[in-house]
Amino acid sequence: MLNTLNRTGQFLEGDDGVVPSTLSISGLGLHYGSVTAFGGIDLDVKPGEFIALLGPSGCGKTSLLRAIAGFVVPQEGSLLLKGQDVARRPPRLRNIGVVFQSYALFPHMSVLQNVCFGLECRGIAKAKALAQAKAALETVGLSAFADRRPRQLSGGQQQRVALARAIVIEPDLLLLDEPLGALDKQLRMKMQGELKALQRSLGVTAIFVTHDQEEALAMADRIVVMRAGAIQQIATPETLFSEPATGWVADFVNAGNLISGEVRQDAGQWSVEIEKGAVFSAPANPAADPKDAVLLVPFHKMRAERAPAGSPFTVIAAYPAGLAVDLHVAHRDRVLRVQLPAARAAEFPAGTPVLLSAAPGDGTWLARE
Amino acid sequence: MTGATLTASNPSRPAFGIATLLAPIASFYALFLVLPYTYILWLSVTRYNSTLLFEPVFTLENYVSVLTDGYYLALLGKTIGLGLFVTVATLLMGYPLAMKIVSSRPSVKATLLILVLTPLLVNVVVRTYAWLVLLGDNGVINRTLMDIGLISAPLPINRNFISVALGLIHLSLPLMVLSLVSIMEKLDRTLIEAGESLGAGSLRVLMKLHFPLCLPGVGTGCLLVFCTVISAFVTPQLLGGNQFSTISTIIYQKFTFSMNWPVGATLVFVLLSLNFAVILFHGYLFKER
Repeated sequence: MLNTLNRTGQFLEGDDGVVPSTLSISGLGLHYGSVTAFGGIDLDVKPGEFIALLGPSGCGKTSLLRAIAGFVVPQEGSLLLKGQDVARRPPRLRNIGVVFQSYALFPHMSVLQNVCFGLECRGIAKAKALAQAKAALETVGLSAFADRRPRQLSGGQQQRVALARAIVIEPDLLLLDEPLGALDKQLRMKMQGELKALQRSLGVTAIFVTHDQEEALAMADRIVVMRAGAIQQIATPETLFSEPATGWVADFVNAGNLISGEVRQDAGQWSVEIEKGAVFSAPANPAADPKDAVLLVPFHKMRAERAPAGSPFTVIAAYPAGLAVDLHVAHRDRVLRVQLPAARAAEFPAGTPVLLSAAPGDGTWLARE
Repeated sequence: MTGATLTASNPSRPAFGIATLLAPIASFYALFLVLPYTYILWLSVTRYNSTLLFEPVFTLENYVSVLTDGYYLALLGKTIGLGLFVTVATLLMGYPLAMKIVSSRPSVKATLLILVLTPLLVNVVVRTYAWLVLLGDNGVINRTLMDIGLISAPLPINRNFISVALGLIHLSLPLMVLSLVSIMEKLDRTLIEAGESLGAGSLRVLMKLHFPLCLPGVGTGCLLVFCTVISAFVTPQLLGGNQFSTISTIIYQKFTFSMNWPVGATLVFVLLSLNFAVILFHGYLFKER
């Protein structure tokens, strides 16, 4: 029951469902022999939305993107692009722009020729195509590099060329496979902002694949969390944090600590005892089988106090994080994180035995899987 | 401790080791390549003499005669023409085959590669006589066509350009296909996918992306095939007979039947120069890659 509540995708605010979807996927499945790349995929993307496909490697997110692009043909389900089923249509008849992880720029062509390629394929007159390609390069700030070969550009510049090449054809849908994966961290942060701003200003509907939850949170309007070929949850970044569908999702997006242990109920007060002397108060547990439930406590809701030696929890590190301090607390073979006001940092030097707890209203019950 | 020993001895050891190891092959080349070629080069600047074989005097008259005489120029043209024809034919036939091989499942790929290689695994004489059996005036092809009444006289497909070209295509197709397969294996599939997603049909993908991206392999294949063809001897000798000669077969004649060693040696160097020119041209075309 928990799952169905949170797994339904939430559309942009004010959306009453009248706007036709740019992309509408239902029951899509792709199998390689007995191996399932993904299955039972349902996803609706509204015009102008920026969607992230998020999941660990091997979860099927890239296969799903490739199926949308048309590079692989799924065996099951339908894939409607602007109302037309394109699931079995070749890529060239889909009008979808693709930015590849490796950028896939044509090495034997100049930057301008790369951007022109899609326009030539559409039979657009040379002069007009050149003007449009130049405008697209202008948009990504690479006008000065039109005559260079791709290999003469830096990674970030190549990424922009790939982007210009994909948007110049005015695609119905823009697909980006780990668009920032090959860039270093500094550049990645900068490009996240630029990419999102560009997507907004062009108003292009876009889907990008990433394994980096921070990137998904920073850029996407909605995030599709995938695991083992299936969708775990579709939600806005805020909802993903506040109401993750499962313990697995919460863990993957780093929404808080997952507390599991013996679930107890004493005089209407629920709690989880992870070991003797370590009890976390919890709200009422609606799950039928408490054994299948975990308690999610956001890092900043965790409570910590100094404890006598012999406590099962020990501070292993304290990282300053602006106004807060991030405590890493070891419990057996796992690490729990506790975020406290920076002023309390002095109480908890590394090596301090502590006792952790949570107030009844601070945790959320989640299904484990 | 081990690390220190290694670093200390490393700089000197390879230099000594490699020189020693290279000595046998260096002597081999010196004895069996450099020495004979030097002798042939010397022969080519001596004067033909019907009783002495050659007069040991320095003269360039053989080169002048080979490079101005209409007969030799036609021979040169015919050899180059044969080379170009076979190169283009193997490229046109080998390119789709290489594409098929590269896109096949591993088991099919292995089988196709072995099939492609068979011409190189069969003895050259056997392979060539098989062509004679097919193409001769009383061969399988002419006999069949005459028996079913399509033709009344044998088709001229033996001891001419056609038979020689067929035999050489058969011989050199593996070289072309292997060159193309090796470059196509390295081709980045996402480049093709990028083209398709941008709206390119299969012809445009082939002409604007696939072929240009495979040019280095095309270049290598053409180089190997052209040089093999213009230097080939057994195939043109057996399939061309006296009616269709190439430089190689004439060189053989000069050294055997007509005993004109100086002109034969000159032709050797003309052919060698042609080969080097093609190799240099190839190097120039693909120097950036």
